[in-house]
Amino acid sequence: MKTARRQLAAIGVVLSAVMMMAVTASGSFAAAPEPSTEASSKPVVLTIGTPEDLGTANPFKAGTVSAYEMMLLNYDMLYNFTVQDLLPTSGLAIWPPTHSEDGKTWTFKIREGVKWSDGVPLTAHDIAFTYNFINEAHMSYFAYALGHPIAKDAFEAPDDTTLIWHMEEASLVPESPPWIPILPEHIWKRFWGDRSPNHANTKEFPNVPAVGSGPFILTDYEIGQSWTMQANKEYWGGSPKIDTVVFRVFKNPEALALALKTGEIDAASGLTPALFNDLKADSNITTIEGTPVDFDDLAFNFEGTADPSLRVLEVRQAIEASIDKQTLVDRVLLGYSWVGSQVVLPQYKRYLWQPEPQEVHDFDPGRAEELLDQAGYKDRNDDGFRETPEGDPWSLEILAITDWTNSVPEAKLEAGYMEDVGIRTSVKVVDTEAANDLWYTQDFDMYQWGWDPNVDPDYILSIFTTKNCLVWSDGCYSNPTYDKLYEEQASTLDEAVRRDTIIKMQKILYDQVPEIVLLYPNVLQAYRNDRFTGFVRQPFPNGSIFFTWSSTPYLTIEPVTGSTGTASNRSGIPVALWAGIGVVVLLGAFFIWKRRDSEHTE
Amino acid sequence: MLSFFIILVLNFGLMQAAPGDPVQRFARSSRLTLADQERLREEFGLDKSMPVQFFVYLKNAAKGDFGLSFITGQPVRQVILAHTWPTLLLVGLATILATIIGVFAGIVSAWRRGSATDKAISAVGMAFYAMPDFWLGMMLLIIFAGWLAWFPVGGYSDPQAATTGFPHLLDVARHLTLPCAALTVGYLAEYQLIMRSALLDVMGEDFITITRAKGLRDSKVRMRHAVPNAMLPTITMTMLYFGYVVGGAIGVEFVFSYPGLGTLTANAIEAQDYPMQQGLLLMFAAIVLAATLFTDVLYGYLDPRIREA
Repeated sequence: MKTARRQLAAIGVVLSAVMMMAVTASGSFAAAPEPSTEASSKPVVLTIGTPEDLGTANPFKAGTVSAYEMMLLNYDMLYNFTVQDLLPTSGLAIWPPTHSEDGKTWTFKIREGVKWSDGVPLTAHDIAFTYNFINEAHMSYFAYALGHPIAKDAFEAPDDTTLIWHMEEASLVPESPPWIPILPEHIWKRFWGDRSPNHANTKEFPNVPAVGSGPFILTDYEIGQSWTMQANKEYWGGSPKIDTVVFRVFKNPEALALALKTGEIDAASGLTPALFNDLKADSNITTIEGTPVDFDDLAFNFEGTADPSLRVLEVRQAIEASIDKQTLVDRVLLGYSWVGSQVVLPQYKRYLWQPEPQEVHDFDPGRAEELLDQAGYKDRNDDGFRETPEGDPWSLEILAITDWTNSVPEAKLEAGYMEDVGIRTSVKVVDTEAANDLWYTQDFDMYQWGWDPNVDPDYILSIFTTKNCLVWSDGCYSNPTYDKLYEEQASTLDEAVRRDTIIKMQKILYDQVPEIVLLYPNVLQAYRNDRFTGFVRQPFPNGSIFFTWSSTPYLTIEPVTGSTGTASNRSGIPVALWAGIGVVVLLGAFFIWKRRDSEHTE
Repeated sequence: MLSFFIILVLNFGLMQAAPGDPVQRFARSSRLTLADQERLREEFGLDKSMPVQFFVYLKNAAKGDFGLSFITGQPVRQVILAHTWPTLLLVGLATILATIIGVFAGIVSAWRRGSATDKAISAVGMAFYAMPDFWLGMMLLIIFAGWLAWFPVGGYSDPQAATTGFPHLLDVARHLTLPCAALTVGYLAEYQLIMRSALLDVMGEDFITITRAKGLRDSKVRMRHAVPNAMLPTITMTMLYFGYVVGGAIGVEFVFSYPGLGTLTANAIEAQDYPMQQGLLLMFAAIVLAATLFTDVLYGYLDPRIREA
């Protein structure tokens, strides 16, 4: 009798537990509810997956793409870039500025009525403070965008809506939107005069939550996981149509793509070509093949232990002619790249020069062999490899860097192409650390590298100047004519003259081949079209939708009817399965207890 | 303490032995001028002599100050602490589950030595043990997070979910399930084999024969006499292993984008963040030393023979 009662009680416990689990599960793990007419009362959350963590919210330590995206959203710049074609346009300052006749004093009219997210008015004083602070604290990463040299207190604000920039030398630099977030003086002034080691006090400031003037303000940052930005509904450029943007970190590229497929995120950036192809098949996902923002190159060394043959123009031209760039694009990046040519990216049209069809350096192994023969590098012993003009064995080495995704496969393909025209070539694979050591000691022939040029070409062109040897120059290329042209374009006030000078410089680089621009990788992104719409590509129509050149694309994003983004979706284990698991566990416990009980009875 | 001091010295020496100039490595990609590089070298103390640098290093280490991250500028200690709890939770839970399941499987396997059950348990356990944990993680990710969408794809918690209370616990539990399963399944075979081997040794002892001769039921002989004596090697291995696994869950943490010490270590190496690498190395060394010390103490508590000796 007692045993029977116990058995009945146990069955009752099992059934009760199953019912409780079902109720709990339905509350916590139920599948996504159907979109309701009350969706508009819930915040609209756009969740973007990215492989790169924010790292820091402090602008003076920011160095990642993610950090720059955060700054673009959280802060304003003096000028913005147009969505259409990346030309300068009004930001905090009204375009265009004016300047004195000698070009050394520039005046900017600052927008009125702008406020920081904490309600304090934003004025020209904040801009003057930001620029002077950067200069005073030697934050050279930003300071280069303001041109060199900069005098102390070069920026002044005679009133709330006027900024004056005093330049040491005349230049058109102020017309290029500088990649500098304008910071609130009332927050950052405490660090003025920071003389701590490495400006530690300034750089240690976490800046979370941040005070900014941009369309989204950083409110939370979980290291290694995510950062959250809330919409600034008072933004001077227009109120965002979404309430929150959350960036989530997925180091595993497969996980990033999976998260988009399952709906755990609404959009993704930094996709790999293979996963990008996989996402194309999903009708709920729109894939974006955005215009490139950087290029991969094979740089030549002109100093140190570099092989002397690389100082011979025909040899460099032959190496370029021997490489099939289209195959690099197809095999390494599965076609998601443009064939490289010059150092100014093709979409930066303001100063772009493009070679005429007859000037293009095509893949032409026959021409490569002719050039090498002309230069005296011939195969004298019929072993398939060429010797120097003096008859000595000749070989070249390419440094490939393991930390760079495409570096090793590109280098191996290039080595193969060079050997096809008789240049004995090897590939030395090193990590970035070792590559930097070899670079500083100039102990290499060629190496795989890449650059992400600014919209204004001043920076990328400066890399090839003599004065940048062992600073930014890849191989210490030196050309006095080129150096002179660089100084001319930096100091002229005539836009047309500057453009002509820059075009001449591009022609020199293209003809002299100090490095071979191999390809321009596309930016691969995607978003859930069943949740959001209104994405604008910058530059229009082929650019990216995130991680671009301004925050403007975020202002037009809006939810499709009935969606609130990831806030409305929670997948999980179905209720029935939870119930089944519960039954199995409890029944198992019951039978074990029963078996013990019968052993005891025996 | 001596062991820890040796590790401190080795830690400093290893970083000094790394080829090249850390400032130059940092400068190349950070667009620093030569003047700024010199300033940076002076400000990081890299212009000082080796003994001075070592003394400063020891003084700071004694305060738990490992400097600022080269990359983020945040205090190394703060960043490491932020990543420690997720790893302790993941590895701790996986260790406990692997131990429980592995021990139970080892007991069954040993008691039914030579049977089909024994062979099946050992074969399955070895199969899982042979699988790389990151591969196992990927399979779980694809099946349970991808195809079935039963669990999240990655992370420690949902940024939009509650951050306190029971809902937060449930959220963390959901995110923890798959990475924990990957580690548990991968490690339980070790515990199963150790337990099986130890139990087989004990089963051959005279006192077990005597307990059987006294007429005690099989289950009681097993659970009250054999298993307690066979547990000691398993406990030792569990505690020792815990220290190593804390720093070694990089594969699983990467697969599930789990923000733990493994991910932090991989990022620090990739970004050449030397202060972070130094801090992490000391952290892992401290955990291993603490686990070893705890094992010694626990062993003495569990085995009266050692206590009396």
